[in-house]
Amino acid sequence: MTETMTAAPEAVEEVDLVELMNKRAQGYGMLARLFREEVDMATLRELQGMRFPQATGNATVDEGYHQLFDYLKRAWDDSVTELAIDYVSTFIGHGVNGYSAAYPYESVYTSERRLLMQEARAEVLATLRENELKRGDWNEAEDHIALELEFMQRMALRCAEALADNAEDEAIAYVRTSYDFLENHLINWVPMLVTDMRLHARTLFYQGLGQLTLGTIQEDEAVLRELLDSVAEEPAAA
Amino acid sequence: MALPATGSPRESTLEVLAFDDEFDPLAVDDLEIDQEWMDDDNPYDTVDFPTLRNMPETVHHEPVYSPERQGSATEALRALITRNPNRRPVLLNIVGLCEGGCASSVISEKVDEWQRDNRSVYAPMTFCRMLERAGALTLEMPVTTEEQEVAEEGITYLEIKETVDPIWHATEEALALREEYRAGTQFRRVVLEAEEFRYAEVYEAIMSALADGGRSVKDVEEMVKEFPICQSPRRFGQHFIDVLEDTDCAAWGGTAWNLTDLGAKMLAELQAQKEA
Repeated sequence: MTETMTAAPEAVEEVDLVELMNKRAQGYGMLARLFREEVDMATLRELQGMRFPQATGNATVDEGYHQLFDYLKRAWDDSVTELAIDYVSTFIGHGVNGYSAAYPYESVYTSERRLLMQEARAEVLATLRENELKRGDWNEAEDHIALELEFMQRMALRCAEALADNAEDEAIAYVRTSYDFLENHLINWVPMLVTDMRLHARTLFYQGLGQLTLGTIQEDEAVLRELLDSVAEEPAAA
Repeated sequence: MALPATGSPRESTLEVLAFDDEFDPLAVDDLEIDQEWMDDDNPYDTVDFPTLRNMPETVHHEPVYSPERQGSATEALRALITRNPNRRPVLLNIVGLCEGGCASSVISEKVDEWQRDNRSVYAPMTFCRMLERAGALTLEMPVTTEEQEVAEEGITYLEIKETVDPIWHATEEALALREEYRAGTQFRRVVLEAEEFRYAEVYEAIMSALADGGRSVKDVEEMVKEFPICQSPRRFGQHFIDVLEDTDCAAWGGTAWNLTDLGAKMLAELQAQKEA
């Protein structure tokens, strides 16, 4: 059976798929970096050099971009410390009751007692192994949002590479893997994480990061679904 | 351990461990937590544990060094630099740099340079905030920031044209205290006008050696050994280095101790007083 990725729906028509995949990878890479650790001066300067689209067509993404822009345009040297404090306050918190922060682990949001290292982590670990990836020397559970976003980035990069090599079947497989991962993991718990981020983040930066992440995965789900819908089965004879 | 009256032990264990199939994580509302759902036997399983976020203002700490606490900006700054002796040169240098105003980016650059051989966990702006709380600096924030819209392929983007670089200003009290330190008041108080002056010849030898070029602690120790006055009570080279460092007369240069400009001035004063 041979499948061909065509540009049937209007939204993806005449889109350079390699470029689209590379842009997706860039977006996921940036989000993964911002969740992985505190913003340092180099990252702050890089973010301030970015361009922020005013109207993307997705209200959540727009709100995220506006909040980030509003924070970054007033950011200066001291903001690195302010963001480091807010990172701890948002993702680590002070309490032990399980409700003191927006814990960036899928297990917390998908287990009954909000515990780490639950079924979600085992599933993500299995997915990483299936795709010949491993955590490396970063000592966090595999279901940390930064790792999940980085997985999406890796899949997008692999897809772009496959498309550039005209390996369409391979590219379609990567799109399927990305879509399944998005459906089974990120879409499943990130909305709850972002709700908690709104409660715990004190800066517009982390408020905006939450909104941007939520909007990005919602938008990406739609894009991947359209791409998969466009995959048409060619007649066996052909 | 007593077993349940009905069912095998295996079944009851499975029952205990089984997850609720009906559980829907999306349906959980964190804002409406049912206390009865919590485990009474687990002291940590409670939503009443106070978090710092929700603590009343009265629980928050006041700044340790502030004009309100120490009585004046001068005293607050004096207390700050006395309690942070290793950071004294940097703190006073920042005050000097901010005479007439200095941009944050310049301060950051300079502080990194000053601390090249004596690193600190504090970020440059954290020093400025400490000095601000002590009444030694004031911050001038720009009112607006430049931004511009650019359009490309039908999409409008916002860009930050120029980043914010606030200006720090030193207060009169801070500048006056810095002058006091720069004038060698500390060295005079600790060495020239105190019991320590009995070691004048040792200080003179060490300071002259440092002025000729950097010296290691070992070199200073060897030098001190030669003075009979240092034998009883025993005085080691490190004692003299500590005094010179505390009075801003010597500074660590990465590989050796060196005499500072203030140290050279104080050496001349020491020699004059010794001869008098």
